[in-house]
Amino acid sequence: MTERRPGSLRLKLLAAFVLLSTPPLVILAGAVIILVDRAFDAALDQRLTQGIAAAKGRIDDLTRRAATEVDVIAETLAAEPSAESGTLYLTKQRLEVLEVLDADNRVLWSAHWTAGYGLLDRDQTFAGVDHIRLEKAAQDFGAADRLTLTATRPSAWAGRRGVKVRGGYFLDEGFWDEMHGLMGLEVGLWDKTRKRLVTRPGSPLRDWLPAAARRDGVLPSQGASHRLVSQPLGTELAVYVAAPLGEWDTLSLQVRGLSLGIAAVSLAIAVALALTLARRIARPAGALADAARRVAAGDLDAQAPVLGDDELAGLARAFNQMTSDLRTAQERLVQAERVAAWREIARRLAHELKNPIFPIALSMETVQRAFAGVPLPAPSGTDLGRLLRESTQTTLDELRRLQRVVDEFSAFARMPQPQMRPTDLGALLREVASLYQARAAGIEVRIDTDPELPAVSADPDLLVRAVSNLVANALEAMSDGGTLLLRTLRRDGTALIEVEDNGPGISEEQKARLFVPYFTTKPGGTGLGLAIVQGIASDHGGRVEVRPAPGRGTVFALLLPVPAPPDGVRDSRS
Amino acid sequence: MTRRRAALVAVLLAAPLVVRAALGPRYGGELRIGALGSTPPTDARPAFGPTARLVLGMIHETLLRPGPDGPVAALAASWTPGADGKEWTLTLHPHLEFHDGTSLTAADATRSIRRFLRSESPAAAVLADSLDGGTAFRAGQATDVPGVEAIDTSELRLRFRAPVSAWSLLPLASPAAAIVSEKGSACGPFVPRVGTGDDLLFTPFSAHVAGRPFLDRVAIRLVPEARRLMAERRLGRIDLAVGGGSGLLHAPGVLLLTLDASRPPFDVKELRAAFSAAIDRESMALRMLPGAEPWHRLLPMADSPGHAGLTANGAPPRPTATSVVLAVDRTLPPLASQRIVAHLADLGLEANVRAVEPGEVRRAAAEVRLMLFEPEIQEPVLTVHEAASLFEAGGVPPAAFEADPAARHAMALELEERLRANGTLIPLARFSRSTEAAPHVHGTRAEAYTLRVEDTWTAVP
Repeated sequence: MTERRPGSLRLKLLAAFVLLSTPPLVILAGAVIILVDRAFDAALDQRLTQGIAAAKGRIDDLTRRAATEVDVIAETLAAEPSAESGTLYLTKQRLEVLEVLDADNRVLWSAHWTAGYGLLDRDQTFAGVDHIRLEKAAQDFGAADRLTLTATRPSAWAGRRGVKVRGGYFLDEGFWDEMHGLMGLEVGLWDKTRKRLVTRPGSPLRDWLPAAARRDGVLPSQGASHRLVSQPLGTELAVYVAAPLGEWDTLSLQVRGLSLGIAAVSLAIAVALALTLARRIARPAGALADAARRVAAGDLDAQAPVLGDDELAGLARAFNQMTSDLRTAQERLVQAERVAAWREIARRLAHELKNPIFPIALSMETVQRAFAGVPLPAPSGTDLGRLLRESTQTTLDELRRLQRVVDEFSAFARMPQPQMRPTDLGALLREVASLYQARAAGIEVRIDTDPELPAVSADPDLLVRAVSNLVANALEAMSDGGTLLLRTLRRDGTALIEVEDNGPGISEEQKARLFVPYFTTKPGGTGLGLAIVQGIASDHGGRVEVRPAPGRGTVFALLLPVPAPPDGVRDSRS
Repeated sequence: MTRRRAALVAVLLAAPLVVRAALGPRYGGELRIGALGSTPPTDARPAFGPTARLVLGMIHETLLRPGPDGPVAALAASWTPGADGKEWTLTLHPHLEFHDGTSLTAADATRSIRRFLRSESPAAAVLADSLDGGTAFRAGQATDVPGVEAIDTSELRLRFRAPVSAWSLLPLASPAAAIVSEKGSACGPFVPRVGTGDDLLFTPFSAHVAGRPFLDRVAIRLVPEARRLMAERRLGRIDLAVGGGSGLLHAPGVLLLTLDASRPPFDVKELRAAFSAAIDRESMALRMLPGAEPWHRLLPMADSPGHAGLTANGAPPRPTATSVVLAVDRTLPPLASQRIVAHLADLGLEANVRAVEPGEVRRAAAEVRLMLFEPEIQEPVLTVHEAASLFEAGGVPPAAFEADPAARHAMALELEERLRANGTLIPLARFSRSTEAAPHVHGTRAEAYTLRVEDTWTAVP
């Protein structure tokens, strides 16, 4: 199985946050954009419709005005007696387009095309539209065909009948420029037959007609799009109205930009929050996993950081408690195994040593009894009798001392099983203190017990023995006086009996061998005291710890398990 | 104030002007001239249009000037023929100078004549044809023209291939034949100066052959169109409006329409005839060109308007093209070209009008050209030759230059009738440009088609 990369939980959490927050934002932004576009489209269509109506209305107005004025001119001209007076009258008129034609349609007089005098009027007309014509008009050194809006009435010229007066206005660039200024729209007149567009100068309509003259739609022109509509005028002409989408596009783009911007910012905030949350969630988990790996590798000192007060913090605390318990159990197991091992050694040693000691002692006693009161020669002045007596006595003394060691080893090996019963550790301490009161001369003994420490399940006799060993060691370490502290306390579900002295302390080298049987720093000691203490602690399911005391000295702690309270009973110290 | 008193006040105010004018010319003053068109040339070359003629006439001087009875003196004081009539000796005025102060000698004159012989001037072609070695020199086949030589510092000799009259010296009156120094300095009555802004500035040349002009300074402002020219004149911003308004009339020119017979649609002779016949010269002269008269001849100096060169028979043929380019002299009244446009439309032709400078209309690439034909030199035979050169219609016989004036005139009429028979040259009207002057400007005159201001003086101090 491949090892997972650290941080994958973070990525999953991040992806989950993003996936959850993105769709609503996208939907919201899309809805805003669609609604705004629809609103703009509706407004634009309405504007174009009004534009067409305005253009046609203006054309109709001019047509009526032209008809009214030409009526007056025709009537007045008919009354003029001569061509000169008629010419004089006509030159004072203000119509943009004004001409007089004879019965053969030859120009008798023209304000807009003076050079056409006497020639045939070759105006072009449009099917279905009487009032719009294509007139030739003077322009610079030549002429231009210009769209006009005219009315025609019969008249007379210097008494000659059959004459026509035609007058009106140009539907040229100036007219459409004026319309553009009024409406704010691009507007023009399209001549389908000649494929010509009349509109204001610089109008973008010029760029796309005539190719697009057959359809409505949005067409690009000079970089801006226009929506256009048209309405026919007769069969050859059509009024086109186009609205630049530039400003609408700009507004729409702004709304889109704003919507998308807000969505993007929101998404960014969501991602940032997601990153933060993911990190807050994943980091403790990662730390916990890391600590678990270290524990699995054998480092029982590994601790998971406890961050916050949530489930992950609880998990970390439980993990730490677990590793602590494991460490304690391991230490206890190690101590127990060590004790068992040393007991086995002690048993075997006692057994092996005990057998030869008895016959040797018996033999010495026999020799001693045999030569008691018997004078012995003294070769070279040596008192053989005294030598024999001293030798045999020394041998018997050493055998008795060896026997005591063997007995202690045997006793160590055959430590009794503890008889567990509720034991008040505070009372026990006071009992031990009273036992060593006499030996504590020059030493201040202080007892500090926890009144709320419940009774622990223990063998009080064995505990007394263990505590007594510790007290004895402490008193011996303070041969020049000092303070002996005896206390009980509770820590992490464990009851502690601590014996603290302010003696010289224990070196690290000594500390490593403290609980090894037969290791002693005292002359004449058996070296079993602390091993016994460890054995008793192990038999009670506890262990022994040793640490330097604050300042100077040593603290020996006997750790015993505290039983869990019965169900329903609240343990205030848990 | 009553009318009588107002009139009295006006008279009293104008009195000083009248009195001053009556006292005659005075030195000093500034003349502001408005002229149509763009910046004219200042080097010696054929001049077309009133502005170019005015400017070149101010800067340059020629050996001779055209007169009603032949050449009149300018830089050349006199000219005498040789015994055989083939040689003519021109004697310069003494102490002639150029603008830069260097002396003007016969060597300068001969060098200028050689330059003239190779110019685009139609009159130069005529002179080269008649001079000994002139034709080869003009064609670039010879490096020198033996017929032109400086005898000494003040005399030069012209040798012709055949005996000629003094009329044959008239080409030397062309602005293209102006005498210029080796370094390009001119010797006309005014010296061009570097002006500020858009005006052309001139100061008088004290050593001019005819003496220092009266004016201290002349400024010419170029105006793009006639309406603005007259507006400037009405506002008093200019003293002379050349080619606009009413007043001093220049020599008449011929409003001439030319058709290019080498390409459609006027490659068809019947169409040319129909077009010429359709043009109502009466309407044009009466309604489009105030002061013009209907004209059928190429010679503006002819005694009678003549008759149409081509007659039309039946309905005009259908043109093979639908549009033509019409090149128009921009100094003409717009109504004239508009009328031509109307006639073209009657034929079914749409005209694309291009307004060009007077000097460019003769060579404009157009099927139709409308210009005011003002001959380079106001002499019938030279005029016919120039008209023929408009469409490379060939030259005129050398003999035409030797006849007496009346005979030359009759021959010119005959020659121009032949030219018009093809229908490519269509005279329409005889028309004179005019120059409107402010009341305080005196002494301005029109010498043929050139406005002369060297004798102009102003009454206002």
